[in-house]
Formats: sequence, C-alpha cells, structure tokens
Amino acid sequence: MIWREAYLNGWQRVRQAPALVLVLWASTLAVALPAAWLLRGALATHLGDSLMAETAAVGVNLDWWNEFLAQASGLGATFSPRIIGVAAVLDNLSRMTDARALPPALGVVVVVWLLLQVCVMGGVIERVARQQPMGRVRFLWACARHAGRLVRLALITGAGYWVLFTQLHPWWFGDVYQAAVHDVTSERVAFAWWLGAAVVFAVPVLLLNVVVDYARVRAVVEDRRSMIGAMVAGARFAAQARGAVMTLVLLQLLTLAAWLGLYALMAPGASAGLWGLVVSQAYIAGRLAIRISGVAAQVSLFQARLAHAGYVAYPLPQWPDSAAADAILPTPACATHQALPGSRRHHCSSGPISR
Amino acid sequence: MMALAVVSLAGLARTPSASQSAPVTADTRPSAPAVSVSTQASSDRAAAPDGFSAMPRSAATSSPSPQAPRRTDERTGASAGFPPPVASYDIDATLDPAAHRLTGRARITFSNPGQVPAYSLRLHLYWNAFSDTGSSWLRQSRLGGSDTSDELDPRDAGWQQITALRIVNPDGSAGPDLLGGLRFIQPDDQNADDRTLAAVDLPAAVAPSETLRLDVEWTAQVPRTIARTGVRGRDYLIAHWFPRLGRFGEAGWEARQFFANTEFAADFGRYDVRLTVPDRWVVGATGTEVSRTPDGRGTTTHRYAQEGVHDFAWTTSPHYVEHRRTFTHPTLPAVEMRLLLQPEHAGQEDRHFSATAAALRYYGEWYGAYPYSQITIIDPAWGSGFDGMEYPTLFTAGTRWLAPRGSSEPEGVTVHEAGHQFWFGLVSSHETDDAWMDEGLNTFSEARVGSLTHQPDYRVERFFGDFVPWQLRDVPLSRATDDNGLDGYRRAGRGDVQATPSFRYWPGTHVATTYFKTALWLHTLERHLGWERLQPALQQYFAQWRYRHPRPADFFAALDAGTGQRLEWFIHQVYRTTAVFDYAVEHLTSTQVHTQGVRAARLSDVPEAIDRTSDTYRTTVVVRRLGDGVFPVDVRVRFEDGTEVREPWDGRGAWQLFQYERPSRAVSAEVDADRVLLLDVARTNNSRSLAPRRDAAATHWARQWMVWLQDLLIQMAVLV
Repeated sequence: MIWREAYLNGWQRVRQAPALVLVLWASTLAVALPAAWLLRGALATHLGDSLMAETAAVGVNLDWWNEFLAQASGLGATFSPRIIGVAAVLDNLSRMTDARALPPALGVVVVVWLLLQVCVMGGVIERVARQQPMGRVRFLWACARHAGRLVRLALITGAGYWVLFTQLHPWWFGDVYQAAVHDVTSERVAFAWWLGAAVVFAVPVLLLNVVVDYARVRAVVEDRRSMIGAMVAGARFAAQARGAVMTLVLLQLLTLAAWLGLYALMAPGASAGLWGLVVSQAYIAGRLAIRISGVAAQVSLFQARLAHAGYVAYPLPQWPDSAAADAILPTPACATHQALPGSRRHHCSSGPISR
Repeated sequence: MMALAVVSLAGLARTPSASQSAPVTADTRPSAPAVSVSTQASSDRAAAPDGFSAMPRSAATSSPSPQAPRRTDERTGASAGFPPPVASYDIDATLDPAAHRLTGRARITFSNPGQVPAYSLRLHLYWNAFSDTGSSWLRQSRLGGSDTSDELDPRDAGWQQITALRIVNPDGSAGPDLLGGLRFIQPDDQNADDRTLAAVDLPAAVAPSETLRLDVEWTAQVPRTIARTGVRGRDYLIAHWFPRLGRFGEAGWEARQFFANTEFAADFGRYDVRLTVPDRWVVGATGTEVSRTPDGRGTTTHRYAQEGVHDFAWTTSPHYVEHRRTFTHPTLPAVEMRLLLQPEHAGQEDRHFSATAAALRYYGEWYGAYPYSQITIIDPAWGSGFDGMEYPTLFTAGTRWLAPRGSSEPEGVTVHEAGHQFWFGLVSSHETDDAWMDEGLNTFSEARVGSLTHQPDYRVERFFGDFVPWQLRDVPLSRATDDNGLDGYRRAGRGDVQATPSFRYWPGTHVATTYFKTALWLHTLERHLGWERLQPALQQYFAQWRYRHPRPADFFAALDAGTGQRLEWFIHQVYRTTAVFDYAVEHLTSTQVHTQGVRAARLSDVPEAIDRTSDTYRTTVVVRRLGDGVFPVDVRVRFEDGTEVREPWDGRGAWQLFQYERPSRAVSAEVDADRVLLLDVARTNNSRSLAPRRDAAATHWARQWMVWLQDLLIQMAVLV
C-alpha cells in the first residue's frame, strides 16, 4: 500500500538525516532560550532574597506563584501552573481547539519562530527529497533558495488560518454549537456535541493543512516559482491521491497521539531536576522527528506517484574549487589526467573531480 | 371589628444592641388556629399532626428515626424551637412546562415585628430583574464585566406580574383591593426601569405585633437562567419566585431592589406550599414533603411545609435520581439528607453526602445544631446556572461529569452551600446590605471544614472547551491562602470599604470584599487568638442571633464579648477602611564585628590605633510596615548554629530595627514567621536569607516554562 510505504519511508528518511531533528530542535532553543532567560530574570527579581525561593527551587510554591502573577506582565503573565508536565501539552493543544488568542507578549517570539521555520523548511524538504547528504553549505543554500517562496506561501496560508480561527471558529462554536446545546442538560451530551463540532471544524483546517503541505513539497521538489500555482498543484495532488493522503494524515495523528501518551506517562513533574529537562527535551525532539517524518512521508508519496525516489527538479549546485583547495588536495586517482595549461590543477578525463 | 392580636415576644426578645434604640413592647394574642393538613399520605410516610415536622420513613439505605412532632406553642403558634412567624405563606402554584409559565396564589400572613406601624407594604418581584436589560441587576452585572447581560433574548426573559392583591378580613372575607395602588419603587438607585420592588399603601396601618392577611395572585414567566433561578431544558430551579414581603425591621421596611452583587433578605415564617407539576417529575423543596396527590389530569400536586424559615425554593425535573441517607451524630439531631442527582453523576452520591454530613457535623459542633429534620441537596443540570446557591433546608451544589477525586469539586461547594443553612438560613443577616456577614463567615467555615475533611485538595485545570480536567498533583491547595481566597483579595482588596452596603460594592471586586476579605480576617483572628477563644465567641453569636437578623455591630459585639478581647483596633481596619497589610524584612546583614580606629584603654591614656576583628557576629535586621494596616507581628532570626531569636513588634511604626551580637552568623530573618496575619498581601517580602536560592528557583521554573514554550512553538509551526 502506497501510504504504508510512504509512512515507513518517511521515518527511514529521518533516520538517514538525524541532523535535521537536531537543527529544528536547536532552532526551538534558539528562540525559546532568550525568552526563558528574560522570564528567569523576572522570577529572580521577584523572589529576591526571600525564603520562598527555598520551596520554589524544588517544587511548587503556589503562594509565591500567585503573588508573582498578580504583578506580572508580558512574559511573566504567561507563567501559570498549566506549564507543569503534560498540562503544558494539553494547554497548547487546547489553545488551538478553543482558538484562544496567543498572549501578546509571545507575539514577537512566535513570529520569529515561524519565520525561522519557514526558512528552514525548504532545506528540510530538499534533504529528505534528495535522500543524500547535502552538507551544511548546500543545506543553507537550499533554505535560502526557497525561503522567499515559502514565506509567500506562509502569508497565503496565514490568511487562510486567520479566516478559520477568527471568523469561522467563533461562529461555529459560538452560534452553531451554542444553539445545538441550548437546552442540553447533560454534560456528556454537551461534550459529545463539542467533540463533533471540533471534528467538523478540523476538516477545513486539515484540508488547508494538507493542501499547504503538498504545495510546499511541490514548490521545493519541482522548484516552482508561483506559490499560488504550488497551492493549486498541491490541491490537485491531494485530490488525486486523497486516499493515501488522508491515511497518511491519520497515521501521523496516531503517531503523535502515541508520543503524547508516552510523554504523559513520563512527563516530569514540578520537582524534576536535570533529569526532567532531559526527558522533556527528548519529548520535544520526538515531536520534531514526527513532524519531519510527516514531511518526508509526504515527499515520498509525491515522488512515488509523480516522480521517483530522490527526484528534485533543481540540481544541487556544484561550486568550482578554489586554487588554494586544489593546492591542498592530493592529486586525484583516475585513469587519465592531464594538467590544465598554465595551472597546477588537474582534472580527470573520465569525469569531474569528486571529493 | 378586627380583633388585633399581639404576640408575646418575650421568649425571643431581642437583646438591645448598639443599633437599636427602644425595647420591644410585649403583649399577648390568642393562639393561631392549627393548620389543616392533607390526610392523604403515601404508604411510606408517617401522618403528621401538624404537617410541619413529619419526616418520611425513608426506603433508602439507612433507617431514619422518625422525629417526634414538635410541640406547638399555644400562645405564639410557633413550634418549639422555632421563632414566632413574621411572614407566612400558604401557596398554591402550578407549573406549565410547555410555556415555562408559573401561576400561583398565596395567602400571606404578616405579623409586624417592628416597633413602628407599617403604613405600606413592600413586595419583592425578583424575576423582573430578568425581564429586560434596563433592570438594576443587569446594569450592575454589565459593570462587573458580565457579557451575559448585553443582550436579552425575549424568549429567555423572565418576569412576575401580580394579578390580584387584596386584604383578607379577620373573618376570612375579601377586604380592600390593593392592586390599583401597587407601584414600583427604586429607593436605592432611582432606576425607573427597575421593577423588582413594589410598594402599596395600606388603608390602615399594621401596628407593632398586629397581624395582616393578604391574598395575592400572580403569573410568572420562568426565565432561562441568568442567575440562580430558571429553566434549562426540563430542569427547573424555582427560587425567589413568589411576591415576597420585604423584611420589616425595628424601624420599618428594610427592602432593597434586586442587585447583581447581593442576594435576599426576608423574615422568618411558616411555609405551606402545594406545587402542581407533571406526573412523575421529581420535586425537591424547602421543608418536608407532606403529601403527593395525583389529580388524574397528568399532573401531581406535591405539598411541602416548613416553619422557622425565611424563604421557600423548589426544583423539579423528570431526570433527577433520588438518594437518601441519614446524618447521625452522638450529640446532634439526626437529619434526613435527600440528594437529587443528575443521572450522569451516578457514583458521586457518596461525595455529596459526605460533604453535607461534614458541614452538618462541624458547623453543628462549632456553632449550633441544625434544627430541621431534613435537608435537600440538588445536583443542578449542566449549563443550568443553578449551582452554588442556598435556600432554607435546600441547596444546590455543583459538580462535573469528570470530577477527579482529590480535588474539591463537588465537596467544596457542597460544604459551602450546606453551611449557608447556618449563616444565612438560621442567623439571617441582611444579605443585601451586609453580604459579608454570611458569605464571609461561611467561606471561613467552609475552608476550615475542608482542611479537616478533604485533603489533599489538588488544583484542577480544564481544557478542550472546559470539559476535560487535568489534576495537577504537584499543586495542592491550602486553606490559609487558596480556600480563603488570598489571591482574589490581593488583586481586589481595595475595591470597597467593607462597611459600605454590599449592594453598592463595585461589581468587579465585590466577591473579594465579601467572601475573601472576611474569611482572611476571621482566619487571622483565629490564628491570633486561637480557635479555642474564637470558636466559643462564634458559638455564642450563633445561639444569640439564631432566627434573628443581626447587623455588623451585633457581630462585633459578640466577638468582643465571646473572646474577652476588645477587637475594635482590628475590626476598624478591616471593616471600616481599605487598609492593606504588608510587612517586610527590608534589611538583613550579619558580619563579624570589626573595630577600627583609635581607642584609649583608660580615660587617662592617649588613644592608640586599633584594628581588630572579633569572633562575634553583629546581625542587623530592619523590618518595615509597607501597608497602611497595623498588626502585631513577631520577627524570627535564625542563626547558623541552629539557634533562633523571636522578637515581638507591635507593628505600628514604619520600621523597626533589631540587632544582635552573637557568636554565630545569621542565616535568615522573617517577620510574622508563623503567618498569623493572613491578610498580608505580599508574603514573599516577609523574609530574607543570607544564602538566597532565587537563582536556583528562577532557573528551575524558567526551564519548565521553556518546555511549554517549545511545545507551543512546535504547535504553531503546523500552521505554516
């Protein structure tokens, strides 16, 4: 089954390129660490020399916590008990399903992060598409090459999500759902309605997500310039291969759910020390691996249906070596070689010099 | 000529308090005729001679011991232990669920308890608060930030309309019609759109101790619940539903309009109520069920009766599942507990019963016995808006379909609302003017019960449409701070002077002033004086003011008398000002004593240079009063050798210096180390350490927060 092969192939491609997980994980740290540092300063300032820090250093001191929140603003205002353990994950997932607005203080952080993601994603897609090592330079080249296009694509999709979450969501959950439960007196029934509403709302979100994902894949793999064209192509592919596409989506969601479930069992509590940090970062890395495997699976599916494994339209650049590099490097071993006139450079008549 | 009857109030003569000026004149009157009761009783109910104290023999898990009928005082008509009725109601009401319409008629018997004649009447029509957005209730609610009152769908509105009002002559014949003279009044805010309080002049004044009887008929539209009462689906909670007389005090009517900040006030009396609802609908109501009579037309009339109460509420629904248990105690009277539970909350009956029993037990032991033979616990339907409200012998709790054990839902609200049977139900302070007297005292008591019965109590967060709970087992809640509402008080404690009439509190902060501030200052008193001194004072207050209407001065006088302390210095600050308490350790150093300079060994000697360091440490502690509230505190200094010093400070000055010279270096200093002053809004500055761990704590929590942020960022990345 093509979707099964794509799913497994996606993970295989992640295994072939573990550095991608490292890159994305490092990028989360690059964005989150400075913000955490700022918060740390605010927490330390508030604690001062107080003995409250004794308990806060090893666990929850809710007394101090509430006192801090009562005067906090900016990043400090986001420091709620919901950040503890797996409650953090539930909080973030719930933020999306409930369309809760992001705290304004995080606006800059999120925008920087999203830009970074958009820029990096071009390189990630190229790497998993080519299925061969690219090296740091070529990876960055790929990121830079696709960045502008993917930013344009992100703006288009951002508009789409804005409509979904700020226009459709309030109407769907505000008017329609409320009308459905107007006289419901059972919480179980109301929750069932809510779940149903969430599933129905998830359909356009997923559809947009799928179209954008394949638009991104096609934009990179086929080296498309027009992002509207890429969107159309992505939609066309998703429609043609809808069975495999949606099955892949389901598999990804199940994989994510399993990973979240595992984290729920192992999530560090409030008292966790360095070991807790290790576990939580492993969780973050795992989530990123799942994300990359999803992208890789989508690439694999696309290549299997419309191209071939390893296909990328635009060839990897081959930059000429510098004279200094030539001087350092040993004479290549090849069947025949001749010196270029006036140069100490050699080349193999049987093919280009390779390193 | 109408024979005027004056009731002897000698048995319950009010002790003159600071708020009163003239003693009550006592007279006598013939006893009221015995009320006739339905003799048609279902097989599992004991026939009651007087209809007011019968307790059905329960078919539930335990066997209640039927209570003996109370003796009726022939002079006053009151049963033993209950006060002479002031406002009694004999009501017939019919509910039409199809139209959500209620029609009723009532005979009201009013005995003037005051010292001045009543020249007019005041009638509350509470449901008119929900008739349109111009009502004072909805206006105040909007000020408080509620978004439910911006619009009011006419289909959801509620109202009450009196269709007949006439005096009943002593011989029972119809007397003067008063309906034409009925008018709405707005003495509290002059809002002409508010129609929750009506007045009508009487053709003849009702003198003190005289009795007036009225017949009233009304129609009401049951609102979709905005607050406390109404309908959702086929679940009804019918509260403050009949035209009710205002409270008549020593100097006249004390009736207020209906405001969002406050609740209700009325006089004690007897209620005999017949409720007609569809067949097989379960009914719960104030008092004891006397009879249940199907009429063969698809409806059944349920009769409930109770005396010694000041309100009557009821509920009906076809969904309730009924459970019964009996509360028993070695020294307190048995109480039949009846729980009407939502089907989806099956399995939570134990939690409701144990919480109710805890309230009956502890409030009974601390303050006084619950005097009624039954109590009804209502589990409101989801989304109904009925939860967390108290009525005499009946209250609504509130739980969730998913309610993790180890958290105080439903226990907390159950204890609180059961506790209101004491503070409000029995000691009937004025909820519109002095809401803190019942809400604050009850919050304090509920927190105390919670600390004894449901611990640990973990914080719960809810996700995904507020449906899915997650218990944070790292975050246990404490009585001192969380249950007393310290965080709420800290954020809004300066909202109002507590002495302001409660209906005038700023809507956005009235909860902090009413509930939290009172609980905190009572708990502070408990820690300052000791429970062994405070509890007897509260018990005496309860005994003295049961079935009466105390004012704040009465409560404070009872505290002084009961504790043997003059507490005005404290009461003045917490009740008559918005003073905030905040003590801090501003400075702490502990260094070796180093002497440098010149010194002469003897007076006659030439000073010589000295530069020496001794083995002694000089510890300097400065504590400061940052708030305007004053409270005696202690200061504790701990030293490296394990010793400590405690110094008292009266807390009056702006700062106080303490210095010590000891062989050991200090490690920390704390002001109010035992946390007696729970009103201190900033506990973090109460201590200083010479080896602070702020960096470790800040790093620890910044790490946790960073993981949350990383997860959020990954989530967001799915969208691009």
